[in-house]
Amino acid sequence: MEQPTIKNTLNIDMEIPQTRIAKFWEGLKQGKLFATKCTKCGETYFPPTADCPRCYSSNMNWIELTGDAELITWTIVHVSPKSFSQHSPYIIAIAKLKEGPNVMAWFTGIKPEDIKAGMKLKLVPKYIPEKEKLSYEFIQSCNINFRDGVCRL
Amino acid sequence: MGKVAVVGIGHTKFGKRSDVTIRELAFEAIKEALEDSGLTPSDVGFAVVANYGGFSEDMCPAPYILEYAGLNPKGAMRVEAACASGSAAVHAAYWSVRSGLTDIALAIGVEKMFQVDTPTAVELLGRAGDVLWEFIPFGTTFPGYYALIATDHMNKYGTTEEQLAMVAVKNHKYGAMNPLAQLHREITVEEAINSRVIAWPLKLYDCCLISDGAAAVMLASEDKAKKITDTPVWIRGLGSATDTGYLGRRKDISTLQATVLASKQAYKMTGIEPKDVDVAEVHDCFTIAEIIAYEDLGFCKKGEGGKLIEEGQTYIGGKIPVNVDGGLKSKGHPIGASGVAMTAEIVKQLRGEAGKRQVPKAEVGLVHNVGAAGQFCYVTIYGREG
Ligand SMILES: [Zn+2]
Repeated sequence: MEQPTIKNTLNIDMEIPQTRIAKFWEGLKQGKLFATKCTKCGETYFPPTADCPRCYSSNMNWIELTGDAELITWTIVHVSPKSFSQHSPYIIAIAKLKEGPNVMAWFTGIKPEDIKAGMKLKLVPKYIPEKEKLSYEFIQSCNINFRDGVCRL
Repeated sequence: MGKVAVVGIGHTKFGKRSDVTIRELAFEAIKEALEDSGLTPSDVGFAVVANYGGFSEDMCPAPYILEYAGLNPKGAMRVEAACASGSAAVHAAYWSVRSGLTDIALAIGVEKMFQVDTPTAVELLGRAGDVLWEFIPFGTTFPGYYALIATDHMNKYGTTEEQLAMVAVKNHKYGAMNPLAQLHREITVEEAINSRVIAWPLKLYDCCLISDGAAAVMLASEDKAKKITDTPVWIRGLGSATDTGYLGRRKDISTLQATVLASKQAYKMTGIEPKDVDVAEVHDCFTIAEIIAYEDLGFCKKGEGGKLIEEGQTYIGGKIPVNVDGGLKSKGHPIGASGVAMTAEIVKQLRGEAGKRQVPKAEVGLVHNVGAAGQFCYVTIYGREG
C-alpha cells in the first residue's frame, strides 16, 4: 500500500576557504607535494595545517615531500556515496610517509591481488585541468618512470 | 547521595518506519519510558535529544520532539556525537541529575534514515568522517573506514574473515529472538562470507543496517529513584574519550584508543574490572568493530578478539555475553537512537526482563558506544546494586 508522504528536496552548494594553506594547492598544480612543519616543535603535518595543535604555534614552514611511503592498510570500496557512484570500485590506502605522517589516498594502477602490507608506494600529485581537480594518490613505487598514475615497468 | 539510576525505558521496534515522522517515532519511545517509570511529562526536569540528522526533515529536531511530547517548557538540548550521540545524551542527562540541577532527566535518541535513498544515506554517514581530507577527495565510507581497520587487524593478528562472519552469526541469532530487532533471520558463516562485498574485506553481513528507530531512558536522583521504582538500575561508572578524525594521525589503526581510555575511566570510577561485567552491549557497527571492542574493553588480550568469538565466549553461557539483543548488526542502528537503545537493553538485562535472551544472574552491565570510526567513545557501567 502506498503511504501518503510529503516530497521535499534540499540541495546545498558550499565554498570552503583554503586561503591559509593556499601553497599546498599551488604546489599540487605544479606537481609538488607540500606539507607544513612547525617551526617551534618540528612536527610535520600532511594534510597540511596552518596551526600546530601540539604547541599552538602558527609559524609553519612549507616542506616538499619526497612522496616515498610504505603501505599500512587498504580497502576496496564497492558501495560508494552518491557523489562517487561513477568511480567505484576504488582502492583507499593508508601509508606511512618517509617524513613521518600517515596519509590516506586512493591507490591506483594496481591489481588488488598484488597489494601487500609494507610495500613501497609513491604519493604523487594529481591535476586534471579540465575538471579543475587537484588531488594526490598512491602508486606503486618503481625505479622506472610512472605516467598517468600507473607504474610502467 | 549523588547516585543516579535509570527508572524507565522505552524502545520502539527498529526497522523501516515509513508510517511515522521523526516526532511521532520519538513520541512512541518517550511514552513508553514515561509509562515504565510511572511519571508524567511535568515530572521531567531536563531533556536531551540525540539525533545525527540529515536524513530527516528537521534541522533542529529537539524543540519539535519536545513540543510533540508535551515536554515544554523544560530545559533541553540536542547532542551529536555521530553514532555515539545516544550515549552522549545519556551522559548529559546523567550530569544534569548528578549536578543536582534537576531530579529527573530524560535522554531521547531518534533517527529516521529510510527517508532518503541508500546512496544518499551512505553519503550523509560518510560525512561523519574527515570531510575535507577523506570524504571529498576520496569518497570514504564507514564500511571503508572499518575495512581499513579490518585489513590492518587481519595483517597484524591473523584475524580471519570467518571470525568476522561468526560475529554476524551470533548477532543474527539473538536478533531473531528479539521482537524489537529489524532482522529476524539466523544466518550461517558461509552465507556471511559469500555475501556481496561492500568495502573489501567487509561484506554485506559484516555491516550494520540502515534503520529507523527511537529509544528513551528516564534518569532519577537516588531519593527520587527509590520512590519511583523497586528495580532501579544504577549508573555506576562513566567514561568518555575522543580520537583524531583523520585516521592517518593514529599510531595504531586497529585499536580504538578512545575505547581504551573511556573504559579505563569507567572501570576506575566503579572499581569494576572487565571480568566482573556480566553482560555487555558493544558498538558492532561492523563485525570487526565488535572484535576490537572485545580487546579494547579488556574482555580479552589485544589481538585475541577473533579467538574469543571463535570459542563462543561472547554467547550467553560464555565468558562475557555481548550484544544478546542482536546488536547494531541485527537489531539495527538508527544512529542517534543506538546508544539510548543499548542502555535500555542493559537495563532490561539487569532487571531480569530480557526473556529468552536473559543472561542469568546479570548484576553488572556495560554499554560501549562509538562515534564515527573511534572519534568518540562513551562507556557506561550499570549495576543492580548502586
Ligand atoms: Zn608545534
